[in-house]
Amino acid sequence: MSATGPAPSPVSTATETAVPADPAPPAEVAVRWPPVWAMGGAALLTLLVATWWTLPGAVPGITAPGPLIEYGLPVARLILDLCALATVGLSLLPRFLGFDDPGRTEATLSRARSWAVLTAFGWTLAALAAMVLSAAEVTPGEAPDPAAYVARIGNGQGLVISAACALVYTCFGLLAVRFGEKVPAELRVAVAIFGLLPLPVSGHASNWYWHDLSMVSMELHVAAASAWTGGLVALGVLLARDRELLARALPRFSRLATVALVVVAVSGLFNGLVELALSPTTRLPGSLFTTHYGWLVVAKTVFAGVIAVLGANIRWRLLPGVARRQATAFAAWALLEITVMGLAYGVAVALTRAAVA
Amino acid sequence: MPTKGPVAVRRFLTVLLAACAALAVGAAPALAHNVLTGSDPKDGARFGSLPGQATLTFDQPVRADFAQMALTFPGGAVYKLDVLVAGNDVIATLPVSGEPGAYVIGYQILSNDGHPVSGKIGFTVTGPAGASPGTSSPLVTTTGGPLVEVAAAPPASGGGWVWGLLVVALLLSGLGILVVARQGRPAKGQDA
Repeated sequence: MSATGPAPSPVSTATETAVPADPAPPAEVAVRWPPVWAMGGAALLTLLVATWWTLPGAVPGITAPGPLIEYGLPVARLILDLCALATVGLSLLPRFLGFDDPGRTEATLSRARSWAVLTAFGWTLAALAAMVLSAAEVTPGEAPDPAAYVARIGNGQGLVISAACALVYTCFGLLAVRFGEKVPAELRVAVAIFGLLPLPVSGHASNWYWHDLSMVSMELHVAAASAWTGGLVALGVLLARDRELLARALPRFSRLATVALVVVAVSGLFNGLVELALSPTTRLPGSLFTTHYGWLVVAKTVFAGVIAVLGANIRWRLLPGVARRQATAFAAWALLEITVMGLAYGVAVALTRAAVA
Repeated sequence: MPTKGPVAVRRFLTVLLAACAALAVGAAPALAHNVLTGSDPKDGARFGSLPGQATLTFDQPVRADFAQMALTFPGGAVYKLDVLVAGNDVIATLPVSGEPGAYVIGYQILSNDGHPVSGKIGFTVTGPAGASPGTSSPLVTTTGGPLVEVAAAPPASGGGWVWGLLVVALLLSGLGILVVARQGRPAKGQDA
């Protein structure tokens, strides 16, 4: 966290007052990279700690998969998730910016379209890597057999479908690179989110009894979390230095974020508690604090609470100033919120693999 | 402009819900995480002689493929057991004899959600070495061990079609690359 969490101070924003007039469009998009490093670093940190903490002990007589798989598989899953949320967020950017002023937004959107293609390719590679590592995990000591794994296990099928959806996205993304926003943003968002939907199958998926409900809840959780986080990262990277565009995009993003916060919190709590409640060997109130799984649910809930507070701060304290094109500390606060989101994502990936009981 | 925002959000939510509905309809069969709920011998049990077989009971049906069990003898020697999967149970025939001491059964099954679930059951044999088999658990004592019939468990849905999907997606992606490469520089702006 130390590498990623600077104290919230108004960086990168001049302290002059409102600039109402629309300045000439900047020839170059001012890109801020800290949100990317914050997201990735924070997520990797919590993921490695949580993976190490929940690692099942060695079992006598059974070959252990080895650290390359024990840590490589979660990391591949994390890269998949981060690439996917970046793809979703970059695809949402046109919706946040609106289509009424292409002359002003085109430089930024063009950058977003190119990046989205790259993140979608990264998504594909990460999904296939995760599939091979999952196959290796079930046959420790032998060469992995991805074909058999995919043929038999829903997890493998889900990862391949997700990789295929990401490739379909690259097709639409490349068409958008060529033809601009004539390729509808909704289409790209839909393909990206559709590619996320097979993934909960590779988590604990759902339990035996409330299958349908928890499945839908999980899908909503994944889709809303990626739209919310990806949207904020896209704003933080591409718009934080552009007061005019930020003033257009942030109000729309804030509405989406409010909905996403509620969806993510409700669906996440529902799934986590149901998973614990239906675990046959533990009882619920206690298992929140006696099982690794319970602790991870608690940690994620705490992170979600912190994110909600930080989001509320942006929404109610900063948004009015941003909307008036004033200098605000949006970049710093967004960076902080993205860092906590990264922490939550790291825990989330560990949670998909931790034993429930 | 303020009117466009809610429209954008609403359209986004519509897309989201439509995608979820599409998936919920074709949702995969129940895939959950298997949890060990009981075993025979129990963890920490004591026996006069080596029991004839070991049974692990899970909370839900176990996949036959990739299930494995191993018995570790007091000296540290490891004996791979042949396993038979029957419903929620994973059954293995133990060797007919063994000296007194602490034994450990290690197991790993592939949970229905695709994760390996592993663990161990420890028990102690207190009786004399070479005790007759089957005194405590005489159910199955065939030393040959029932060979695992992987096909006995219904295989999950044939997943081969996903490779076809991947190939089609790859072709589409190649098409996209071609379109961009053919046109050289990307088009600037919307001239619509």
